[in-house]
Amino acid sequence: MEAKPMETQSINQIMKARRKLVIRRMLGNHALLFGMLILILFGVIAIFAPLIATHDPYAIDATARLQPPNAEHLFGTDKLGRDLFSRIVYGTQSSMIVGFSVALLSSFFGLIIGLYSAYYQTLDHVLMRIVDGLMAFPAILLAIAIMAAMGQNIFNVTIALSIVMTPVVARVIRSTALVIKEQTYIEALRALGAGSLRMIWKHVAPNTISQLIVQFTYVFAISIIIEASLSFLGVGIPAPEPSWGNIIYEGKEVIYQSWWMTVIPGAFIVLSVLALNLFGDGLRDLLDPHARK
Amino acid sequence: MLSTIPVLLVVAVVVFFLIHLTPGDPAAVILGPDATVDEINQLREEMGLNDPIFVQFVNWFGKIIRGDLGWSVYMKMPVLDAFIDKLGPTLSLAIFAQILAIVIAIPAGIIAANFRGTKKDQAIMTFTLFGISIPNFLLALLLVLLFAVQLKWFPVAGYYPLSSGLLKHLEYLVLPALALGTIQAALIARVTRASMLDVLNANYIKTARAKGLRRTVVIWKHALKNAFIPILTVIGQSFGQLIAGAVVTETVFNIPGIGQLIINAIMRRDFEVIQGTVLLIALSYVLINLIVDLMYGLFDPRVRLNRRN
Repeated sequence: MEAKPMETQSINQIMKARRKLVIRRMLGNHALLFGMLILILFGVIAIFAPLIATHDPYAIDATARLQPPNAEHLFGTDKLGRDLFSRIVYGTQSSMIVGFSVALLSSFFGLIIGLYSAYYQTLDHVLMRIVDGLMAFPAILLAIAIMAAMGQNIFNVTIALSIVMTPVVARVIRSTALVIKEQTYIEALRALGAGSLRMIWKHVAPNTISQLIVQFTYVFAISIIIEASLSFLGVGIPAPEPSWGNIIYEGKEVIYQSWWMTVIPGAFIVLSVLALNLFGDGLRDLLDPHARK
Repeated sequence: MLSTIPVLLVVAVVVFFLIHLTPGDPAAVILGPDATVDEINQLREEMGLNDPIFVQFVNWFGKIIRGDLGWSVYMKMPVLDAFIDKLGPTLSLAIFAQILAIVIAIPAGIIAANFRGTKKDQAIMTFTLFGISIPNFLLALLLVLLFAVQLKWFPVAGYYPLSSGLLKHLEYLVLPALALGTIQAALIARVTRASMLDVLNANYIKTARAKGLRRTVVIWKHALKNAFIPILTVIGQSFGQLIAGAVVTETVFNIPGIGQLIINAIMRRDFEVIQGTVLLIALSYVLINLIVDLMYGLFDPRVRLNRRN
């Protein structure tokens, strides 16, 4: 291809056409759309939890213990007569906050670690051994150990999960950046005398963004699963604060008579993780033309 | 292979930091609430807690290498002994689940790749998507609700060691292994499919077909062998997840394994047990992956040749 200076007009036209193509492809991808829709729904529930909840999630009502779903209590009640609909709505808030913050934190640190270890070889050896070491711990177990040491609250859950997830993101970003680093245009930039800071942040980083977004959705999904598991084991979000995991934990004792305490929050977990996975897969196909054969 | 050593060192450093993150002065904990500051200080000196952190690390690391992983305050026994006591059930569960997963997932992945884009492929892929989207404790509870409470096919919970008979052992392990294995199967099936798709497009597969070999022979003998390294890798890498999953699954079924050890340790704030157990599991993960690395040679002669040179 000849490299002629293009007019701004035609660049704009190309960009517009590309955007149209992306939107058309998005609409054609039902999995992506379905995932996105569910995610928006969960986002709305999380943000407007106080408006959506029909009862106080902490209000104990001894006269209404372990009621199956009915008109007053849409998802039934638990052992203490607390309204499960409201508890699950607030639980959605907790899960979304934890999942989103972990995804944000580990994407941020993962990006920095990944980019710099791809760029500097000595640093790479050191950082990647640390990453390997951290990845040798099964995520849930490392999170359990961190939680046991730091104490239980939603903030520590977020920190523990971010420590567990950052290496995963760092790995992916590093391998993406290593490929980009070998491209001709980076070589050209180096020949032109571009500084390392400019090279890393202005030219390599933007090209890892699509990978980063995909990783963001996966980390979000895994964090929801691990947070629920931690809360189920009693080391995550502490009772009485509602979370999907600890509602199921409380439901375990009464699983014979009160299936709704297990099945309904369970459905929320599966639906949210499924939506994130569909969304992530869809994005990957959309952003990475090579994955789609 | 040499890179295993720094990884082990990092694992040790992480666990050491976890110990230091743990709130409370160990000396004060041992002496109880009545101890004076002087007494605590004296014990701190004896325990080496006043040494520089680097010296403490070296001492601690020396103990780990000699197999001393600490002492369970609550159970009054070495952590290593407690771990070995509880290892059997967890290992049984993990192995059963892994076998179940491999037996289901590899054929499923091959079928999906072979019938790519058809209903069969879509059905298998949908199933794997559910598999990776459900936490195993939830799947375990749902299996209990359906197969134990409703249908009464399997016991609700409990564990019988192999010594009480193979049938009884397996009867109690079916639901836990299914809960744990499904997630594992989803993961392996996805990798098998992707890896098979890569291989099936290769020229030597076309050659094999062209010279008149039957499809089944080509798939199972030529393609699978070449597609096996990524599958083996994911099996090895998911080992940690498998053990962690077993730990969670055990608590649903009241299986007296590592999971119970950890959960009890958390409730009793028996920190050395948690840290020692997590350390041992991370170490075994590193070892298993080392074995997997060494096994590549079995499937790929190029690896063998490289190694010899």
